[in-house]
Amino acid sequence: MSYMPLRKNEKYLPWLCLGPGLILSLGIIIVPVFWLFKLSLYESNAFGQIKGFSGYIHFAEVISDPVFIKVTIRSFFWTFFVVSGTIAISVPVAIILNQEFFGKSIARIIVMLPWAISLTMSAIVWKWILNGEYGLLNLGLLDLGIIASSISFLSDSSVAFALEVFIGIIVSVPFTVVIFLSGLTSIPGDIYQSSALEGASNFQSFKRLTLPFLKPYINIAVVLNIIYVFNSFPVIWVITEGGPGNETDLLVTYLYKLAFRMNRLGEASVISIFMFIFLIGFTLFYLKLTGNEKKQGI
Amino acid sequence: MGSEMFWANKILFKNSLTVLIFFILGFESVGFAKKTLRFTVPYYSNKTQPYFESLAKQFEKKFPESRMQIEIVNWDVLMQKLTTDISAGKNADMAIIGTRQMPDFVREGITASLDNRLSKSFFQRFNPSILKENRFSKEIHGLPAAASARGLFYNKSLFKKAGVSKPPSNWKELLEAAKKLSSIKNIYGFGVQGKEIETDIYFYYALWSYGGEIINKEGLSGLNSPEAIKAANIFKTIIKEGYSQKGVTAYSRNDLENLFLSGRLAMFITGPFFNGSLKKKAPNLKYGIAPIPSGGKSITYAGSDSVIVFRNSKHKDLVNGFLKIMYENQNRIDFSKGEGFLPVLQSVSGDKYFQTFELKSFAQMMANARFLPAISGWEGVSEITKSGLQSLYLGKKSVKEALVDTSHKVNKILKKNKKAH
Repeated sequence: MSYMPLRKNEKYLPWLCLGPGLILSLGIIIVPVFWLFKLSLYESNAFGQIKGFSGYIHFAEVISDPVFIKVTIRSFFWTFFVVSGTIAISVPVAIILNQEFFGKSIARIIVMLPWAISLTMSAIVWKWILNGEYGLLNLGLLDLGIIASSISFLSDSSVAFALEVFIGIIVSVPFTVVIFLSGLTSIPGDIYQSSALEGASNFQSFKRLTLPFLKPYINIAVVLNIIYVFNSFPVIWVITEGGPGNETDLLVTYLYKLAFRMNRLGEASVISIFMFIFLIGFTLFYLKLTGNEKKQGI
Repeated sequence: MGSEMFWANKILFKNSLTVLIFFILGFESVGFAKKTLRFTVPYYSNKTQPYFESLAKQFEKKFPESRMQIEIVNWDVLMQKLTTDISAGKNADMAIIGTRQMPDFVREGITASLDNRLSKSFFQRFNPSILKENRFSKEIHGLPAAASARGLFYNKSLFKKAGVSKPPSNWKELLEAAKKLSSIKNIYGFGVQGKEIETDIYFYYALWSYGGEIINKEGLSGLNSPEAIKAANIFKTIIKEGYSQKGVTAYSRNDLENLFLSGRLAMFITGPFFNGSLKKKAPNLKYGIAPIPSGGKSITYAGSDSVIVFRNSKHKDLVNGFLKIMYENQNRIDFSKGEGFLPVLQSVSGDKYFQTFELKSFAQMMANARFLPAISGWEGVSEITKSGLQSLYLGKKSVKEALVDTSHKVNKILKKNKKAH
């Protein structure tokens, strides 16, 4: 099918149609980013009212803040573990859900259900589950005789953070499975039949057929998950508020505390700019990477 | 045909635009026919909204040409809402905030001085020591909206079971009592708060009682002092010896309240508002209220919230009219009854509601009340202290190390912000 070229007087039609949406989107993106840069370069009071030019002072303050360094490293760990865990779980889950079996639709609904619940609500439920006295996890372990007395899961930062990573994975799986399922349905079924005739094992057809077909979907899932997870606020905030002692803080929770708990809006803006630059840079890098792969015909 | 279509579209476009403009104007005129008075109120309990809505009805009855909009906001996000509203110039006419948050508002010229707006006799009805906290450079910038003290709640049945005859009057007695109480299976002697709002204040109870200060005479942090070390050692001992609940850094004030309600916590410190929960959720629990243990000084923390009026409010007369309604005696009694707060008006403190054991115990403690220092940047000091205490309670830092480190960070903020008083 060939597309019809636009007539001369219709040359501007796409721009006319796209215009309002484009202006709105740019307004929504550019105005806050402009204010972010302004707040980072100016002295402002606790209420965001600009006072005077301060130059790079806020940048220097953020970079010399030891908590910021720790929080940055933790944010990268958080993103790496949650995204890799999510992908590792979602691929097999999507493959299973793509098979024909009894109760398939119910299984699909169960996997997708957490997606229908807001992230904050899921986090609140997990907070109850992990409660040190009456949490379901404690009660279950006590009933099974695995532990003798209840454990305070969230009082120690390393345990709390590991659990938060686990919860981060659980809440990210449904969305990722949806992406993979759409990828799997696009793979023609007959190629598996041919490969079976040629004597390919299940693992071989997964490695040689499923994975290459799924690769663009994995790419998009990685990019989107990194953006969502790196910016994710509710899980950490609801469960530990970044505590105890800033030890489960991520960049996004730390900048919230700086801005609205400590009234240091300038420094919070600097962190926000760093996050913005990282995500833009990462997305461009990743797009370039996947673009090169396409050119090479992988 | 093309040009006909063009003109048809143009007419259609014009008509649509006209309809749209009328639509918007129509909404505008409906929305702004009456003057709207906006009031941002933090959420105290599920009774907060109905109470303020009833005040709004009284106001609208008295000022039929106006309407009142009550905006209930959670405490956790109150500052976020006010900050964004103020920076966008879209703030309400009035708001209730913590009195300790006021210095930043006053310093930045956000609040209006109330001296010339209301009569002298109006101010004279307030409890002077609470009203004093709202005075900045001789001008009154807020009206006390809620006041509370803190006391030691103790479970009488558990005390009897452990053979503890009376509530501890000092920290040494508290340690002894907590030891006996925590020897009962599944019972915690004394609850230590290690998370969220007022975690720092829980520490200040001991600090103040030993004669320490949050900010010393030189205007620096009082955390690097012998009194602070004594206070920290008390909490450290309680945690180390297992007299408190396990994993204190996972417990907010609300968590401690729930633990006490379940009958598993023998003692902890909180305010009069907890009486309501006890009556509703654990009506059979026998409890007593005692002053906070002394370390040489008898103290309580007086927490108070204030109504502020924004300087950019264009409804001066309506604001005054509303405040007069809000501070009618009966309305104030109803507020205290709903939320369990102490009276802020002298004119109602004689009411029989405030003579019950639950509130009278607290009212008596108010004689030794300590307020938080009125400094700008308080929220930052509080947040840093909370973090420092958490690392102490977790055993990640020694007492000396945690206190010195926290005091350095606090001093950094203090030097940055000048005192507003």
